[in-house]
Amino acid sequence: MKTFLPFRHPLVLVSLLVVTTVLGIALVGPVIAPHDPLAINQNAVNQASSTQYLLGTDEFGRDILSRLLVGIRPTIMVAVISTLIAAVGGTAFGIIGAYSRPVMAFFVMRAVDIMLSFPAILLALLAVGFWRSGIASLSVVIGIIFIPQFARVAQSATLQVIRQEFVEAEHAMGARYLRVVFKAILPNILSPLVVQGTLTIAAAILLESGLSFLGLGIVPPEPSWGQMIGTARGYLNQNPMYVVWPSVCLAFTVLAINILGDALRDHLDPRLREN
Amino acid sequence: MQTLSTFVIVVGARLATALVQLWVIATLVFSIMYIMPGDPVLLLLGPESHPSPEAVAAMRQQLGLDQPVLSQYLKWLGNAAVGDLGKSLDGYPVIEYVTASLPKTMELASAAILVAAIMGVPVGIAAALWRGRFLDGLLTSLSTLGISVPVYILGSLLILLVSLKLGWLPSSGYTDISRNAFLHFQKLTLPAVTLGLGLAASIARMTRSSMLEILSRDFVRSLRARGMRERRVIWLHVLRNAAIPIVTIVGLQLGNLMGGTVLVEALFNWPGLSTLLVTAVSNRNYPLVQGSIVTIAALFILINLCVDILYSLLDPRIRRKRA
Amino acid sequence: MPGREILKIDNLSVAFRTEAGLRPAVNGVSLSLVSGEILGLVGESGSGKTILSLAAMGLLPQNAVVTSGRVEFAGADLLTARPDVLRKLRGKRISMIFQDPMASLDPVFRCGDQIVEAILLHERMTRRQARERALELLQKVGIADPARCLRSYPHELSGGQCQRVMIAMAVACKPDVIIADEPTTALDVTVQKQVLNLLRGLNREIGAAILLITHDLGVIYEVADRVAVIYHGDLMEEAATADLFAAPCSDYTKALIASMPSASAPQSRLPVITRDGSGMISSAAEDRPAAKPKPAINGASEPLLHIRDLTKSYWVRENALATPRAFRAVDNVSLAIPPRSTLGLVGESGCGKSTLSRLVMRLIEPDDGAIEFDGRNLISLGREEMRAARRDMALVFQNPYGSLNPRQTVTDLVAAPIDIHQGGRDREAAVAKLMDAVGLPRNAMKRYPHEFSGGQRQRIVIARALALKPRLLICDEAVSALDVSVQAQVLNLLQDLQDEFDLTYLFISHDMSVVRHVSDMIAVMQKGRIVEAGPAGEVFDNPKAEYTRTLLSAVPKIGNADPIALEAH
Repeated sequence: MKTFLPFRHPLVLVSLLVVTTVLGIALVGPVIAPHDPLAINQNAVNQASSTQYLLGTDEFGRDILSRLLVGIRPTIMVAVISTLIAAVGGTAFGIIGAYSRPVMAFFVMRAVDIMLSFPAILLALLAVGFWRSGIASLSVVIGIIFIPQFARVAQSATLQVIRQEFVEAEHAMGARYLRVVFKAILPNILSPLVVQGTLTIAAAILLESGLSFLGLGIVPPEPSWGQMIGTARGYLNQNPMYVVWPSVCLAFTVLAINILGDALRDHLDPRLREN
Repeated sequence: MQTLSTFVIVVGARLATALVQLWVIATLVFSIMYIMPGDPVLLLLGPESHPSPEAVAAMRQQLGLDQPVLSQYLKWLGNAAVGDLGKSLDGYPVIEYVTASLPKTMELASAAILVAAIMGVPVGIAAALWRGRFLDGLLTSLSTLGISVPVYILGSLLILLVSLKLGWLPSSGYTDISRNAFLHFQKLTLPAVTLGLGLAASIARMTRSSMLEILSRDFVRSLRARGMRERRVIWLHVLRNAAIPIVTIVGLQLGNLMGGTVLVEALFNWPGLSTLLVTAVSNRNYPLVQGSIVTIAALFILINLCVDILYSLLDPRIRRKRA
Repeated sequence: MPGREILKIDNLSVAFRTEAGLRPAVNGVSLSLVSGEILGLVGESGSGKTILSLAAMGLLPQNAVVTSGRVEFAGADLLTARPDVLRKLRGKRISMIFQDPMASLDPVFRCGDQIVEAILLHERMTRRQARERALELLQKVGIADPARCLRSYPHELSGGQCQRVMIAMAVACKPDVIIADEPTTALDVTVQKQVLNLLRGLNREIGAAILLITHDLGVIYEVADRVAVIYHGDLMEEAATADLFAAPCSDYTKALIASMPSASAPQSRLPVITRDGSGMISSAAEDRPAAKPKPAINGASEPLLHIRDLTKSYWVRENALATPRAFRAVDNVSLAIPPRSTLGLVGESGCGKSTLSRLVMRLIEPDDGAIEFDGRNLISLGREEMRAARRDMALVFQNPYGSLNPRQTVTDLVAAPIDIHQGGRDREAAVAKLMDAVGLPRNAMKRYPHEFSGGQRQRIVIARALALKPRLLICDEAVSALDVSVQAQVLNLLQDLQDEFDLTYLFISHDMSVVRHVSDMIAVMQKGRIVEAGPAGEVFDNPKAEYTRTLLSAVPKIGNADPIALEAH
């Protein structure tokens, strides 16, 4: 038996810790925050780190640490919900695109191709430009935007699976469509889907924080990391650490997820496992 | 002859796809007003302001929303096809805004892709050739870092370091090349490097994996069995084969590039298309949003088209479908 | 022909680095190649024969380590020689031909440029001269239109043509030694014949010694002067070809020759290779249980499967410009199989035999014709009726690795037809019985396919096919992917099951000797048509169609073990 994945590589173990911590904070952040993240203090604007404000304060004198701890939640929620939407929708479209009547498959995959050929953030801007921002709407928009990528992965995995003789064997035995999908196809495309899910979470976090950075995502005064970076960019001179804290948090979270995704892919890819 | 005509067919088919893509994005951009929940006019005038029915009607007329949907659609398509993207809410033609900012975005994007290709491809090749050694590990880790750090974070940190701490380059803004060429390129450097670094990371990763894939093919072994120098094997045969996926990869990165310009232009106050778009979205200037998105999409489709044609020139098996 | 020793492999051992330590692949093998001869190296998959050949070229993969021995060539040890020394020898004095000719050519360069490059690597001449030389070489290796071939990319040529190009490059600098690793395995039997003749001719003409590596004893018999047999990395024996086939010394060689279908009387039980606890190898031929009397073949009984005028066309286009034209994959085929008999369908790749098997199961819809199964025309059935009809017929595929879902346990796999047609009633008990029938232990039921060998997997596939006691079994190249010793076991099993379950077989294969061994009737297929059909003995002894004669003459035969000769007894 192989050793459980994370313990074979210290970097992967660290990444797993980072991701667990982030998820934990997303759950209990508001409880452990030392200050009210929305409390304005005109006497303590743009302060550096101190014992009262561990990571300093922002342009309204709000505690940066508290805002970081609280600001994680919308990002994580949007990322998780949108990934679920993308995974379910994308897998369904992908399987249809590979394993259904040719006409149907053709239209599904051409639609996916066309969607894929536009930058995600452009589609997001188009959507939020005409829609009020909020966690629910952002999740739906980002989820829909990532459906094509998921569908592409699911489709190419399904195509590989249905080329194999065991699928033809199912047909020869007289299996129905849904049996083939659930018994033969889904279990065999699960690994690439799990990997794609990890990568999509990272991409969704980046997209949400990118929109918030532009001021088009999570609506102030509720904090989110991307939005904090976007605001801090105006105070680079007065309070340089203001931009550093949320940047470091965001970068390490995404990095940890990507490392986990890579490790998962290496672990699940049979070609790499053989060697 | 046969190969040439096959090539013409491939290019023709690709051109048709590009036109379909343009049509789809134009339709999407047009219909988004109707798909999205809520009355766009009310949203535009500010939902809290309780606008008078006259104001609503006036706005409706200004946007052409009082006409039947189908005729609005055909008009929009017809006008867009001849370069008329309608009028911005401030009365100026959208196309004027677009033509003013388009070259700036293209300049930034070209500079970035240049930085990315110059850095990413050699790094990827080096990592593949020294697979499993220290250099490979270092480069692979750096590129994982590179794809994880969003451009605006990298940019903010670069501004902090290079502009504010070291004072080497201006932190943001744009100067016209005719006014001060030196300052123009100084101001171009940071955004282009910021945008290019992220791209270089993904290009390096994928260059590495396609090099490794080619290196494991049977024909490489038979070239060695023929007594060919390792240098010739790598630099002529392997690289020539790897060029096909690498060009594809660089092409695929254009999506990220376009996404990246949105954020980088905002960060560095670069007055390009994306800045135009973000401002328009913030101001709910719908005609301008539509116009700039269609333009960005058209630009993107055009670049993709060029990449695909280049791709089929490189691969003698053009008849085979794109992987 | 006594010559001087030119390539000497001395006590060579190679092992692979794995997570569990070194895994030996070749153990202390010594071989020598004499100038001008063809030395055959025979072994089944995993015997280490390819590793041996790569070691001889100094081309071992990175995870392989040489634990002992030398490979002497031209006064140097190829295992320790400096890269520039090796480079000057490779291609110039010792060259290699690989198994997969298409993959062994660089896909983005024209064949001509690749041959010219190979020549210029070792010879001082101008490009123009090299090009003329390339043209001559292509003529010499029997390419019909050498000038066109020079301009072609590898993907525009057939597998046989690509192999000829590879051979042209291998002989370009008149090497002393050519190492050919399964050079004909990827090719059809008629093309194989041509390529083997070419190798033999070049061997005579330019005097290069050839190390011919193959799993196919027939190929060895046809062309090799001497034979070395390798098994699990150990050299079993080395002898002149005639001596080896007349009087094999080692138990393994005896068993290997005995388990070839062409070495036994048709429909007899094949001897199988067994290895007892002490590692002793022997060949054992159990007596088969008394076979039930076969029904008379000639028309007395109503056929179970009757195919009439079956036709299937595909639209293909030569290139993106050409107007599509109909390609008849199956062209007006009629066949009848009486119950409890075996019809062997034989043909080369692309002849439409696999399409035919899919048509019979209606996995592909035919354009025209009728498929009468037990008096009912399957073509006229609706979706649900056809689904139900599939209970009575089953398909056994070629690739025992691909035809089992890797994510299901053996129980789920074998019970699949029961789940589909009977809602999974009594599945455990039924599976247990089937495991006994195909000779697998019952404790295999909880395991997954990857834990089994190729032959065991094929048993699982057969167990699944039998789950609902079907009447017709279509075996599509069912033993082609198996080593000859495992193939013998599976062929024996198929024969036993036919008696036990009253099965009717449509047995599809490219391998003439296997088809001859199992069939009552034989149909020969070429380009979608049946060119000849009749009782097995008749088709073999007295072939009427030209194509059947070509096929038969292309099959490598082993002298005194000729099936036709055997049947005369």
